[in-house]
Amino acid sequence: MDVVLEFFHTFLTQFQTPTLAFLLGGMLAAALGSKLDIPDAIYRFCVFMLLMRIGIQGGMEIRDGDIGVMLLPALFSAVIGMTIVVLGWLTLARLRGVRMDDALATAGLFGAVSASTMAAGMFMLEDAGIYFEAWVPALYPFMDIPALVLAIVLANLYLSKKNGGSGQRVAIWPIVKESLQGPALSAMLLGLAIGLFTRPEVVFEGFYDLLFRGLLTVLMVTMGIEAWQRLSELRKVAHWYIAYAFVMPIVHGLIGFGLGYVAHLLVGFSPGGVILLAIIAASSSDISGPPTLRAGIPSANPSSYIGSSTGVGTPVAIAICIPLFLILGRLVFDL
Amino acid sequence: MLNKAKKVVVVTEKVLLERIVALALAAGATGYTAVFANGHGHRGVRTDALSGHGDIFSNVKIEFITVSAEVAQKIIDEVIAKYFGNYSGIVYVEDVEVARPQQF
Repeated sequence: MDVVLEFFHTFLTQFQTPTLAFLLGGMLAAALGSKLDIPDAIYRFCVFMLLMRIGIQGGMEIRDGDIGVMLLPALFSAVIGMTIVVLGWLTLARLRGVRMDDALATAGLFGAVSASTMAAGMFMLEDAGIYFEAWVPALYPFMDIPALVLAIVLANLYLSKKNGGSGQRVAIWPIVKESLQGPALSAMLLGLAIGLFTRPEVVFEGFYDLLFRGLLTVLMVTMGIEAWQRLSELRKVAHWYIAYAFVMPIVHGLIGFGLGYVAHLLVGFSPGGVILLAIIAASSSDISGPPTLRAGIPSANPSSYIGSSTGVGTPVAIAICIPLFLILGRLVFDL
Repeated sequence: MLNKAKKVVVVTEKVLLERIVALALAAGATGYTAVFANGHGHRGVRTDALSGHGDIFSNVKIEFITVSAEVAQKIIDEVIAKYFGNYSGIVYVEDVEVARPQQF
């Protein structure tokens, strides 16, 4: 009984946090037909600030610590990313009215990572006073890139088989390169390098860390508006996408939590790190993933995968998965 | 003194911009002009041109001017064969008159 009460309590608290309130506010504004719009340039700036802050903090911690402890969680992140794609291939792709290439693109996007969801999860942990290693967000590319690559490779294998077997081999390096050169990952890698090799404490404390929370709310409003717009795209495709996008973030998060727990036992990965890894696994890409998939699997319908991810997956990850894994972490680790 | 030339216009998804430009230059075009575009077509309204976050729902209108009818036809054929099976887009040609024809 206590557990159920605590669940609702954490849930309600989460609903009152600025992060979720701004996300829902954005959705509500768009639903009411409001012309509220955050200019693209500002959206991009917010993404830059978010990833820069995350990168610098991670870099500073790696500078002062041991990079070896990152190895197992990084390996697990890649395993999670690829498992999510295989899982999508085994479930969503087999359903009636769902095309294989659409399903693989969707699974790839759900295996990839949302920086904003991750940032929202970091706040929640900080507010709850739960420690996590500052390099955990740097696991992002280790999950993101393998998921996108595997989805694109599987889809192209399937399409070339369907078209008589003589398909071109998929070049993997261009996909990796495009991911690394994307705006979100570039900012994070630059931040990591700055944190690692220089002494950015003054700008970190006086600027990036200071503005981070406020800018995340701007990002959340934008994502809320975007989510509502993409929901309407989803009406044009099979309803299975809605079911997949609603249920799978929770399943993916549980896989992340499980492997994180193994890393906790083996190399002392912190409980906060386990929770954050679960949140990263539950999130689905909204910035850099879609263009990569549009280029990598041209025949897949963007309405299906972007509608699933931005319209349903991201709100579910933020509103349901974040409080859920916080509670699970508290139960498992007795925090 | 004006000279007759062909203007090939491709309206399509912004993700294709670089690839279509490369294709046209390889086919013999000497330059291009591109602007953001939005509108309505057989795939429905494509409205996010000016505000879409991430480039994926944005569209462009790319113009190539060439004095060679063969180059114009080649660009059209290749764009249609390579991209318009999976991406939305239209392509058309206009007769134009250009100053300084050696530029095209």
